[in-house]
Amino acid sequence: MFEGRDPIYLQIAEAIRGEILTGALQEGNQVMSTTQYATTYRINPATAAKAFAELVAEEILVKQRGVGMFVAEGATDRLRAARREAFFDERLAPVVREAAALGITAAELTAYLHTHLDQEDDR
Amino acid sequence: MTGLSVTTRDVSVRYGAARALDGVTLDLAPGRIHGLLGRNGAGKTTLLSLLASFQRPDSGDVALDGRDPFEDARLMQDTSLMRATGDLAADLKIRDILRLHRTGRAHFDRDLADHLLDRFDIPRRRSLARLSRGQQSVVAATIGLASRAPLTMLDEVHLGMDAPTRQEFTEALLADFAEHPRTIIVSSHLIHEIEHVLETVTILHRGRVVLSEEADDLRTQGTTVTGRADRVEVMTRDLRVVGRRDLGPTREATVLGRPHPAWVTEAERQGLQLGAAPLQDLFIHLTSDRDAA
Amino acid sequence: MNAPTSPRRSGSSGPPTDSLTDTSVRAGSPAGSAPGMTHDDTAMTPTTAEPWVRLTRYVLRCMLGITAGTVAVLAVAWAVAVVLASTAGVELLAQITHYATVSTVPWVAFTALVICVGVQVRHYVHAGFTRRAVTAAGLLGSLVVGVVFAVAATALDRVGLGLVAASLGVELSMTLAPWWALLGAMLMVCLTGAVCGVLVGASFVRWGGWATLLLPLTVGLPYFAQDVLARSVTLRGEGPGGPPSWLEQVQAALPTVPTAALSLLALGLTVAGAWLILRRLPLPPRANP
Repeated sequence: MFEGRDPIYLQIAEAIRGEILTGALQEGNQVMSTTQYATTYRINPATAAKAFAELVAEEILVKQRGVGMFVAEGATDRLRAARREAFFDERLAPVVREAAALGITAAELTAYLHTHLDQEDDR
Repeated sequence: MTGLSVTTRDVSVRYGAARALDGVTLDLAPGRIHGLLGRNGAGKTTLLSLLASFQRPDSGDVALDGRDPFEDARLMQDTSLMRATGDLAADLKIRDILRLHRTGRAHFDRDLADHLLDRFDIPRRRSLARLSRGQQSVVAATIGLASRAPLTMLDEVHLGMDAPTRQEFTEALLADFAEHPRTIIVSSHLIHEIEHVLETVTILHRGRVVLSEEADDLRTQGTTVTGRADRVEVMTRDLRVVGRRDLGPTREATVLGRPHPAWVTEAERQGLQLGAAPLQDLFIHLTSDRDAA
Repeated sequence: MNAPTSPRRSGSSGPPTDSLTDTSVRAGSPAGSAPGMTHDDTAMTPTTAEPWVRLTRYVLRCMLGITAGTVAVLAVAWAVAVVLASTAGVELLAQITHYATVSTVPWVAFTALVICVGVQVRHYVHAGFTRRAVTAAGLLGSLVVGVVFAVAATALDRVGLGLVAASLGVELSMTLAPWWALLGAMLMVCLTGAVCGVLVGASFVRWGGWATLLLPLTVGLPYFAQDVLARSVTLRGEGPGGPPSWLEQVQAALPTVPTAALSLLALGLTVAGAWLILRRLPLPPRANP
């Protein structure tokens, strides 16, 4: 576990974002405490706390003093918005550049996208 | 109670002609879990025994919270060093050993000790010498945890424990640390098991500190570069290469230092694969006399 | 990346301690306490006497156990000896009573301090005590043991032996020294025996097996000084079982007052020796087997 090149707290934060996006964690759900997270995955509590702090700063999680951490209202929308922006900037833009360099036309690209998006919808 | 800070300045210890520690300078922040790694005979236990006031350095200074701990009643009460074997009274019954440590440690948690010993079926009326090695380690680790010393040192305390027992103790350590923060120094050869528990990593080799860094920084700074040997060589020429491994025409180089984004782009363009070097790898490279640069 | 799954807390498995219930239990327990007056602060503070006080208590408790066991064994052996002596018709010589009291009791003190302090230095430091605390506990323990044993030995000598002898119809042939002189001598012997235990144990921790070579110094000399005093007090007199002639000559040269001074000096040197070894005693880690 945690084999990526990023610091572990970023990997934890990313994992929780993923769970919220897939619906495994619903808005208003309580998230495990730092201690529970630390013992479950056998990581340092400070690392887990750092991940939670990151998500609180992004307003994905909210802290209720003395009770624990909860998924914030609107967290899913905020995450989706952030992801969409990142998707176009970081994923699609290089693809488009590469396609232009290879001489792939806009028509070819859109045809490809239509086929594959239809398959995705069928699943 | 948030733990003691640890400072050593140019500390040396000699055993006869052998240098156990050779100019060790180290700073460990309070309230964190620090890893002390090193091969056998690297000086780990000697360094920890200085912090525990078992002995004094031949030269240099040791300070806990800025004060010399040797014969300081409060600092010695607040400092616990546990090893799997060798320090507890082997001929005493477990309950008598517990009583002694309850007497010595102001913060000793009797319930925690009982809970852990019950969990692993440790008989209290038997002498330590008559327990198996794994059970002896459980006793040592239990006392180390239950003492709640503001500086708690666990030196190879897992020796002889089986994997599930080690796992449970790691969980117990993390849970208790979260509830009662203190300075903890862990020394272990099973690096991959404790890697993510550590906040800082200090590596000793032949009595010297070869590395002392934040674990997170170490993770991102240690990078493996894998690909055609000539390309790997060219790309890593200006980097701090701590080890190389060859597999046919493929070479894997482990480099220290955070690679520049432009460098990463160039490396990927050349078909080189980049990965996080596991701590275990960095450790082996840094403490291998054969390969060390 | 293997994503950690479901970081959600299930309702049934909560955290191990619930701080709310914990507080309510504690607040409810002191019966009749005025509302608003919390006992929590004092309840949370660990009971901390000074470390050396705690260690002294620990050492005394350890010695109580050792002494009880040893005395039980000695009492049986001694009773058997008395019965055997009486059935064989042997007179209970002063020499026998001397060995039963002056010579055995201090060795019990010696053993108790070796076991409970001397060889435990490493374990006490390991449990968080300073060498100063260990020394203080050793010396205070020696003082308690010395006084208790001296009183016990004097009583045994003065009352116990007479009672036993009378009940068995045996004649005690010995010249009795005044009780205070006997008590004084026994005090010196027992104190020295106890402090020697600390010194011998510490020197074994310091030098390992080589400390055997030091035994004449660490226990022989101090003990000899006390023995001279004890004999000069208890056996100054005539009759069988009196001191051997060479010792008589020593005692002739050194009457009671200088002998007592000598024994005080020996006791002082033993204490100083123990402190010198203990105060900076290095306890280097032993190799893991």
